[in-house]
Amino acid sequence: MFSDNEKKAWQSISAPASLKDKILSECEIRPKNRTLAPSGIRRFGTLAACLMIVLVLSLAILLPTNDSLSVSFNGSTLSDGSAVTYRYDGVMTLSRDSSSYSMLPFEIKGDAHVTVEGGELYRQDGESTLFCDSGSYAVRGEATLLYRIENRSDAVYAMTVKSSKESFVIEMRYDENTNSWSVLKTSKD
Amino acid sequence: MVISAWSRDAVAAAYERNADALYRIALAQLQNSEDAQDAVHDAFSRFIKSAPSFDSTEQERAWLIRVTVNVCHDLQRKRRHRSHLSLDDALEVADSDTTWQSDERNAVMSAISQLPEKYRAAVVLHYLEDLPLEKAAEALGISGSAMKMRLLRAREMLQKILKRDI
Repeated sequence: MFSDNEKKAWQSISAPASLKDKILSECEIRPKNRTLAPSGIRRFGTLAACLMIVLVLSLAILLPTNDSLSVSFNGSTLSDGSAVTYRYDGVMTLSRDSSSYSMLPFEIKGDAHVTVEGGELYRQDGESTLFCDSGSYAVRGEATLLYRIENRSDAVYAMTVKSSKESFVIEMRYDENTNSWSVLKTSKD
Repeated sequence: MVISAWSRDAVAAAYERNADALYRIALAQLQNSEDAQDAVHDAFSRFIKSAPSFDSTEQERAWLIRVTVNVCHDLQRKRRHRSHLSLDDALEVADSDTTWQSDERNAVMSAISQLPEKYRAAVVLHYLEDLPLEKAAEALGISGSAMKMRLLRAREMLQKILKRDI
Protein backbone atom coordinates (compact mmCIF):
# COMPACT_ATOMS: atom_id res chain seq x y z
CA MET A 1 0.00 0.00 0.00
CA PHE A 2 2.45 2.64 1.16
CA SER A 3 6.22 2.39 0.82
CA ASP A 4 8.47 2.02 3.86
CA ASN A 5 9.66 5.58 3.40
CA GLU A 6 6.10 6.86 3.30
CA LYS A 7 5.23 4.91 6.46
CA LYS A 8 8.36 6.13 8.20
CA ALA A 9 7.60 9.70 7.23
CA TRP A 10 4.01 9.31 8.42
CA GLN A 11 5.07 7.85 11.74
CA SER A 12 7.47 10.74 12.27
CA ILE A 13 4.49 13.05 12.79
CA SER A 14 4.22 13.75 16.48
CA ALA A 15 1.72 15.55 18.64
CA PRO A 16 2.75 19.12 19.50
CA ALA A 17 4.59 19.32 22.82
CA SER A 18 2.15 21.90 24.17
CA LEU A 19 -0.67 19.34 24.01
CA LYS A 20 0.87 17.21 26.76
CA ASP A 21 0.96 20.09 29.26
CA LYS A 22 -2.61 21.00 28.37
CA ILE A 23 -3.82 17.46 29.01
CA LEU A 24 -1.79 16.86 32.15
CA SER A 25 -3.03 20.11 33.67
CA GLU A 26 -6.43 18.42 33.90
CA CYS A 27 -5.02 15.92 36.38
CA GLU A 28 -3.96 18.57 38.83
CA ILE A 29 -6.01 19.11 41.94
CA ARG A 30 -5.68 22.61 43.26
CA PRO A 31 -5.31 22.78 47.04
CA LYS A 32 -8.16 24.66 48.69
CA ASN A 33 -7.43 27.87 50.54
CA ARG A 34 -7.79 27.13 54.24
CA THR A 35 -8.57 29.65 56.93
CA LEU A 36 -8.56 28.51 60.54
CA ALA A 37 -11.54 29.35 62.73
CA PRO A 38 -11.07 30.34 66.40
CA SER A 39 -10.47 27.39 68.75
CA GLY A 40 -13.95 27.54 70.39
CA ILE A 41 -15.64 27.30 67.02
CA ARG A 42 -13.24 24.53 65.99
CA ARG A 43 -14.13 22.51 69.10
CA PHE A 44 -17.84 23.00 68.43
CA GLY A 45 -17.27 22.06 64.79
CA THR A 46 -15.45 18.86 65.82
CA LEU A 47 -18.29 17.92 68.17
CA ALA A 48 -20.89 18.64 65.48
CA ALA A 49 -18.90 16.60 62.96
CA CYS A 50 -18.73 13.62 65.40
CA LEU A 51 -22.47 13.81 66.01
CA MET A 52 -23.07 13.98 62.27
CA ILE A 53 -20.93 10.88 61.69
CA VAL A 54 -22.86 8.97 64.38
CA LEU A 55 -26.13 10.11 62.81
CA VAL A 56 -25.06 9.13 59.30
CA LEU A 57 -23.80 5.73 60.45
CA SER A 58 -27.08 5.10 62.32
CA LEU A 59 -29.10 6.04 59.25
CA ALA A 60 -26.90 3.86 57.05
CA ILE A 61 -27.63 0.88 59.30
CA LEU A 62 -31.32 1.56 59.79
CA LEU A 63 -32.42 2.79 56.36
CA PRO A 64 -32.55 0.59 53.28
CA THR A 65 -29.69 1.39 50.93
CA ASN A 66 -30.01 2.26 47.26
CA ASP A 67 -27.24 -0.08 46.13
CA SER A 68 -29.24 -2.01 43.58
CA LEU A 69 -28.87 -0.60 40.14
CA SER A 70 -31.09 -1.23 37.18
CA VAL A 71 -31.26 0.25 33.72
CA SER A 72 -34.31 0.15 31.54
CA PHE A 73 -34.27 0.99 27.89
CA ASN A 74 -37.49 2.12 26.30
CA GLY A 75 -39.42 0.44 29.14
CA SER A 76 -37.58 -2.90 29.13
CA THR A 77 -35.04 -3.76 31.83
CA LEU A 78 -31.68 -4.47 30.25
CA SER A 79 -30.04 -7.73 31.23
CA ASP A 80 -26.46 -8.81 30.62
CA GLY A 81 -25.67 -10.07 27.15
CA SER A 82 -29.16 -9.89 25.66
CA ALA A 83 -29.57 -7.17 23.05
CA VAL A 84 -32.70 -5.07 22.72
CA THR A 85 -33.68 -3.80 19.29
CA TYR A 86 -35.19 -0.35 18.97
CA ARG A 87 -36.54 1.52 16.02
CA TYR A 88 -36.60 5.25 16.62
CA ASP A 89 -39.82 6.85 15.44
CA GLY A 90 -38.53 10.44 15.58
CA VAL A 91 -41.10 11.67 18.10
CA MET A 92 -38.67 13.04 20.67
CA THR A 93 -36.65 15.30 18.43
CA LEU A 94 -34.58 18.19 19.67
CA SER A 95 -34.68 20.21 16.43
CA ARG A 96 -32.02 19.83 13.70
CA ASP A 97 -32.06 17.09 11.05
CA SER A 98 -34.02 14.60 13.12
CA SER A 99 -34.00 12.07 10.30
CA SER A 100 -30.32 11.27 10.78
CA TYR A 101 -30.38 11.22 14.57
CA SER A 102 -32.09 9.07 17.17
CA MET A 103 -33.02 9.82 20.74
CA LEU A 104 -32.59 6.69 22.88
CA PRO A 105 -34.49 6.67 26.19
CA PHE A 106 -32.89 5.13 29.31
CA GLU A 107 -34.23 4.94 32.82
CA ILE A 108 -31.66 4.48 35.56
CA LYS A 109 -32.69 3.35 39.06
CA GLY A 110 -30.09 3.58 41.81
CA ASP A 111 -27.15 5.85 42.56
CA ALA A 112 -24.77 5.84 39.64
CA HIS A 113 -22.51 7.90 37.46
CA VAL A 114 -23.41 7.78 33.77
CA THR A 115 -20.90 8.74 31.08
CA VAL A 116 -21.25 8.66 27.30
CA GLU A 117 -18.71 8.68 24.50
CA GLY A 118 -19.79 10.82 21.58
CA GLY A 119 -23.35 11.95 20.97
CA GLU A 120 -25.27 14.17 23.38
CA LEU A 121 -26.71 13.25 26.76
CA TYR A 122 -29.89 14.85 28.06
CA ARG A 123 -31.86 14.35 31.25
CA GLN A 124 -35.57 14.63 31.63
CA ASP A 125 -36.58 17.00 34.40
CA GLY A 126 -40.38 17.15 34.52
CA GLU A 127 -41.44 18.71 31.25
CA SER A 128 -37.94 19.95 30.45
CA THR A 129 -35.14 18.18 28.61
CA LEU A 130 -31.80 19.43 29.89
CA PHE A 131 -28.47 19.01 28.12
CA CYS A 132 -25.67 17.40 30.19
CA ASP A 133 -22.80 19.32 28.61
CA SER A 134 -20.03 17.27 30.22
CA GLY A 135 -21.37 14.08 28.64
CA SER A 136 -21.98 12.65 32.08
CA TYR A 137 -24.62 12.73 34.79
CA ALA A 138 -24.71 11.60 38.42
CA VAL A 139 -28.00 9.80 39.06
CA ARG A 140 -29.35 9.96 42.58
CA GLY A 141 -32.19 7.51 43.08
CA GLU A 142 -33.79 7.64 39.66
CA ALA A 143 -33.43 9.49 36.38
CA THR A 144 -34.63 9.39 32.81
CA LEU A 145 -31.81 10.04 30.37
CA LEU A 146 -32.02 10.61 26.65
CA TYR A 147 -29.03 9.83 24.47
CA ARG A 148 -29.04 11.64 21.13
CA ILE A 149 -26.82 9.93 18.59
CA GLU A 150 -26.31 9.92 14.89
CA ASN A 151 -27.72 7.04 12.82
CA ARG A 152 -24.33 5.67 11.77
CA SER A 153 -23.73 2.03 11.09
CA ASP A 154 -19.96 2.52 11.25
CA ALA A 155 -19.84 3.72 14.86
CA VAL A 156 -20.49 2.11 18.22
CA TYR A 157 -21.80 4.42 20.91
CA ALA A 158 -21.18 3.49 24.52
CA MET A 159 -22.71 4.49 27.81
CA THR A 160 -20.85 3.61 30.99
CA VAL A 161 -22.88 3.23 34.18
CA LYS A 162 -20.91 3.01 37.43
CA SER A 163 -22.25 2.61 40.92
CA SER A 164 -20.29 1.95 44.10
CA LYS A 165 -20.82 -1.79 43.67
CA GLU A 166 -21.07 -2.47 39.97
CA SER A 167 -20.16 -1.12 36.63
CA PHE A 168 -21.37 -1.89 33.16
CA VAL A 169 -21.27 -0.65 29.61
CA ILE A 170 -24.23 -0.30 27.28
CA GLU A 171 -23.26 -0.45 23.63
CA MET A 172 -25.46 0.90 20.86
CA ARG A 173 -25.07 -0.13 17.23
CA TYR A 174 -27.14 1.14 14.35
CA ASP A 175 -28.30 -1.11 11.53
CA GLU A 176 -29.01 1.01 8.48
CA ASN A 177 -30.77 -1.86 6.73
CA THR A 178 -33.48 -2.11 9.34
CA ASN A 179 -33.15 1.51 10.50
CA SER A 180 -32.98 0.25 14.07
CA TRP A 181 -30.65 0.28 17.07
CA SER A 182 -29.32 -2.72 18.91
CA VAL A 183 -28.70 -2.00 22.59
CA LEU A 184 -26.52 -4.40 24.57
CA LYS A 185 -25.57 -4.29 28.24
CA THR A 186 -22.33 -5.87 29.40
CA SER A 187 -21.07 -6.00 32.98
CA LYS A 188 -17.51 -4.92 33.69
CA ASP A 189 -15.32 -6.72 36.19
CA MET B 1 -11.73 21.76 36.85
CA VAL B 2 -11.52 18.02 36.61
CA ILE B 3 -10.52 16.01 39.64
CA SER B 4 -9.42 12.65 38.50
CA ALA B 5 -8.91 9.33 40.18
CA TRP B 6 -5.98 8.93 37.85
CA SER B 7 -2.56 10.04 38.93
CA ARG B 8 -0.70 12.51 36.78
CA ASP B 9 2.00 9.87 36.21
CA ALA B 10 -0.52 7.31 34.93
CA VAL B 11 -2.00 9.80 32.47
CA ALA B 12 1.49 10.94 31.41
CA ALA B 13 2.46 7.32 30.72
CA ALA B 14 -0.71 6.72 28.70
CA TYR B 15 -0.03 9.93 26.81
CA GLU B 16 3.53 8.87 25.94
CA ARG B 17 2.27 5.50 24.72
CA ASN B 18 -0.57 6.79 22.56
CA ALA B 19 -0.65 10.52 21.89
CA ASP B 20 1.42 10.60 18.70
CA ALA B 21 -0.61 7.83 17.05
CA LEU B 22 -3.90 9.40 18.17
CA TYR B 23 -2.78 12.76 16.84
CA ARG B 24 -1.92 11.23 13.46
CA ILE B 25 -5.27 9.43 13.31
CA ALA B 26 -7.11 12.65 14.16
CA LEU B 27 -5.01 14.61 11.68
CA ALA B 28 -5.87 12.17 8.91
CA GLN B 29 -9.56 12.44 9.78
CA LEU B 30 -9.78 16.17 10.29
CA GLN B 31 -6.95 17.44 8.04
CA ASN B 32 -6.30 20.23 10.48
CA SER B 33 -3.73 20.32 13.29
CA GLU B 34 -5.77 22.50 15.61
CA ASP B 35 -8.81 20.25 15.34
CA ALA B 36 -6.63 17.15 15.69
CA GLN B 37 -5.19 18.52 18.93
CA ASP B 38 -8.70 19.27 20.17
CA ALA B 39 -9.75 15.70 19.37
CA VAL B 40 -6.80 14.15 21.23
CA HIS B 41 -7.35 16.53 24.12
CA ASP B 42 -11.02 15.58 24.28
CA ALA B 43 -10.19 11.86 24.14
CA PHE B 44 -7.76 12.18 27.04
CA SER B 45 -10.23 14.32 29.01
CA ARG B 46 -12.71 11.45 28.76
CA PHE B 47 -9.95 9.04 29.72
CA ILE B 48 -9.18 11.10 32.83
CA LYS B 49 -12.84 11.56 33.74
CA SER B 50 -13.99 7.99 33.27
CA ALA B 51 -10.73 6.40 34.51
CA PRO B 52 -11.32 3.11 32.71
CA SER B 53 -9.30 0.06 33.67
CA PHE B 54 -7.55 -2.13 31.12
CA ASP B 55 -5.85 -5.49 31.16
CA SER B 56 -3.21 -4.42 28.67
CA THR B 57 -1.79 -1.41 26.90
CA GLU B 58 -3.34 -2.75 23.66
CA GLN B 59 -6.78 -2.50 25.25
CA GLU B 60 -5.97 0.98 26.44
CA ARG B 61 -4.88 1.99 22.92
CA ALA B 62 -8.00 0.46 21.35
CA TRP B 63 -10.20 2.41 23.79
CA LEU B 64 -8.41 5.67 23.11
CA ILE B 65 -8.51 5.17 19.34
CA ARG B 66 -12.22 4.44 19.44
CA VAL B 67 -12.94 7.53 21.50
CA THR B 68 -10.69 9.67 19.29
CA VAL B 69 -12.42 8.46 16.13
CA ASN B 70 -15.84 9.18 17.67
CA VAL B 71 -14.68 12.63 18.78
CA CYS B 72 -13.41 13.27 15.24
CA HIS B 73 -16.84 12.37 13.82
CA ASP B 74 -18.45 14.84 16.20
CA LEU B 75 -15.92 17.58 15.36
CA GLN B 76 -16.34 16.98 11.63
CA ARG B 77 -20.04 17.61 11.98
CA LYS B 78 -19.57 20.75 14.06
CA ARG B 79 -16.70 22.33 12.16
CA ARG B 80 -17.38 21.66 8.52
CA HIS B 81 -17.40 25.36 7.77
CA ARG B 82 -13.83 25.91 8.95
CA SER B 83 -11.06 26.20 6.38
CA HIS B 84 -8.09 23.88 6.48
CA LEU B 85 -4.65 25.04 7.51
CA SER B 86 -1.69 24.32 5.33
CA LEU B 87 -0.39 20.88 6.23
CA ASP B 88 3.18 22.15 6.34
CA ASP B 89 2.11 24.65 8.96
CA ALA B 90 0.04 22.08 10.74
CA LEU B 91 2.59 19.34 11.17
CA GLU B 92 5.13 19.54 13.92
CA VAL B 93 8.46 18.74 12.32
CA ALA B 94 10.88 16.69 14.34
CA ASP B 95 14.49 17.88 14.66
CA SER B 96 15.72 14.93 12.68
CA ASP B 97 13.26 15.60 9.89
CA THR B 98 14.58 15.72 6.36
CA THR B 99 13.19 17.08 3.12
CA TRP B 100 12.34 13.65 1.76
CA GLN B 101 10.34 12.92 4.90
CA SER B 102 8.41 16.11 4.49
CA ASP B 103 7.68 15.29 0.83
CA GLU B 104 6.69 11.71 1.61
CA ARG B 105 4.52 12.83 4.47
CA ASN B 106 2.69 15.38 2.40
CA ALA B 107 2.19 12.79 -0.33
CA VAL B 108 0.62 10.38 2.18
CA MET B 109 -1.51 13.09 3.74
CA SER B 110 -2.63 14.33 0.35
CA ALA B 111 -3.64 10.81 -0.72
CA ILE B 112 -5.56 10.24 2.51
CA SER B 113 -7.30 13.59 2.27
CA GLN B 114 -8.74 12.53 -1.09
CA LEU B 115 -10.41 9.48 0.46
CA PRO B 116 -13.96 9.80 1.78
CA GLU B 117 -13.95 10.31 5.56
CA LYS B 118 -15.34 6.83 6.16
CA TYR B 119 -12.23 5.16 4.75
CA ARG B 120 -9.51 7.37 6.21
CA ALA B 121 -9.35 5.89 9.71
CA ALA B 122 -9.38 2.33 8.34
CA VAL B 123 -6.42 3.03 6.05
CA VAL B 124 -4.45 4.90 8.70
CA LEU B 125 -4.98 2.29 11.41
CA HIS B 126 -4.17 -0.73 9.30
CA TYR B 127 -1.67 0.47 6.70
CA LEU B 128 0.12 3.31 8.47
CA GLU B 129 -0.19 2.52 12.19
CA ASP B 130 0.25 -1.23 11.56
CA LEU B 131 -2.73 -2.33 13.64
CA PRO B 132 -3.84 -5.90 12.78
CA LEU B 133 -7.13 -5.95 10.87
CA GLU B 134 -9.17 -7.31 13.80
CA LYS B 135 -7.75 -4.75 16.24
CA ALA B 136 -8.39 -1.92 13.79
CA ALA B 137 -11.96 -3.13 13.23
CA GLU B 138 -12.47 -3.35 16.99
CA ALA B 139 -11.13 0.16 17.46
CA LEU B 140 -13.54 1.47 14.82
CA GLY B 141 -16.43 -0.52 16.27
CA ILE B 142 -17.10 -2.42 13.05
CA SER B 143 -16.97 -6.09 12.11
CA GLY B 144 -13.92 -7.71 10.52
CA SER B 145 -15.78 -8.19 7.24
CA ALA B 146 -16.88 -4.54 7.16
CA MET B 147 -13.26 -3.56 7.78
CA LYS B 148 -12.06 -5.78 4.93
CA MET B 149 -14.63 -4.21 2.61
CA ARG B 150 -13.56 -0.71 3.61
CA LEU B 151 -9.90 -1.51 3.01
CA LEU B 152 -10.69 -3.07 -0.36
CA ARG B 153 -12.58 0.02 -1.52
CA ALA B 154 -9.95 2.33 -0.07
CA ARG B 155 -7.20 0.43 -1.91
CA GLU B 156 -9.09 0.82 -5.17
CA MET B 157 -9.41 4.54 -4.61
CA LEU B 158 -5.79 4.93 -3.52
CA GLN B 159 -4.66 3.04 -6.59
CA LYS B 160 -6.22 5.77 -8.72
CA ILE B 161 -4.99 8.57 -6.47
CA LEU B 162 -1.41 7.32 -6.21
CA LYS B 163 -1.43 5.99 -9.78
CA ARG B 164 0.47 2.85 -8.83
CA ASP B 165 -0.13 -0.85 -8.42
CA ILE B 166 -1.02 -1.71 -4.85
